[in-house]
Amino acid sequence: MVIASAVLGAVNWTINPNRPPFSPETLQEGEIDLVGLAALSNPLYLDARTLSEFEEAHIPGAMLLNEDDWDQRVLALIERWEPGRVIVVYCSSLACQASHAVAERLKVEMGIDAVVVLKGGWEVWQEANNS
Amino acid sequence: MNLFIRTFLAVLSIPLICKANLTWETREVSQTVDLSAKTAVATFPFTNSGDQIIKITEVKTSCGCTATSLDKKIYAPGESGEIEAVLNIGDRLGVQRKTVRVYTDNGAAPALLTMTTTIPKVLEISPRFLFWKQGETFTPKSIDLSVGVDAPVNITSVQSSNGQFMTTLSVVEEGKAYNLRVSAVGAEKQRGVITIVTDYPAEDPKTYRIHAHVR
Repeated sequence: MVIASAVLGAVNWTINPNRPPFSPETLQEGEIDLVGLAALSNPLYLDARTLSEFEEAHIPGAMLLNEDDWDQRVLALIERWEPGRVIVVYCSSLACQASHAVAERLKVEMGIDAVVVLKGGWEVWQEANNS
Repeated sequence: MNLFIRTFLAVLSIPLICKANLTWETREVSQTVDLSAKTAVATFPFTNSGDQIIKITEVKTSCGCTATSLDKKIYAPGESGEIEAVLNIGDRLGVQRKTVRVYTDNGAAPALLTMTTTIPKVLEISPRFLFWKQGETFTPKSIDLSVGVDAPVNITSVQSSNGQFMTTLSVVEEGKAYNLRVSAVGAEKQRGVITIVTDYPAEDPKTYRIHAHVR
């Protein structure tokens, strides 16, 4: 049974185009980690979590932009954003997808290409900055 | 019997001995909501199909936009219950895939429930933000508008809040696709909102806004 599982796993890894990354640390397209973040000059942070989570705590200078209230909040973003300034979107943790959804809408709807997602989101940033 | 084989068989028999287990009627719910819907609700019924009491210790969602409710946490063998997940639609559009993880005290991996909600886009507009830099050549910008529902949608008006932004609408395919060309006139800083009004749905036609800036 163990051998059969190993063989099937190896076959899946070889031929499955939708296989997950081998390591959870692997960055997907459009993602950035803390190392990459440190190299950015004056990024504009967007918090894609809920209003209550944002109000509890957020990355200093971050703006709230989620899909609960997109149409209103995106106005504040376009007032503040300048071309060339990289936008970093984050949500609560590795498991959340809200930051990816916000990043996608910024690219497709707003035509803003310089958008990346912080892998691990608020959880990772907080760990790094509280330790 | 070899110690290795005995250990191997013991490990294999763990699931047979520990039979506290939740059996789910469905782990995936897919639905399309109405244009007027404020929330989408998915229900995941389950039964404790094991012979031991089971406790649901935690229910985690992949997004703060999804709330879950559970009648109670402890279920006797044979007892049924359900988890209800409610997605706040807000300004979400398109396909929304949210997951719910259900943790129990039986040591098993959490159950993964998936709620896929399709929120109709009457009109897909790209881009919705136009930007010209002061001093650059003010080349007109093009916006694609495509209908995202299975019905013809007509654009009944396009209005610019600022006369410095001129618009020209053209029909690519009647009721299905349009193109809007926007020109900026004048070199000074300015901003405007272009409002696009549709005739769909008839009872509450959708209106969209495009933001134009010269900075």
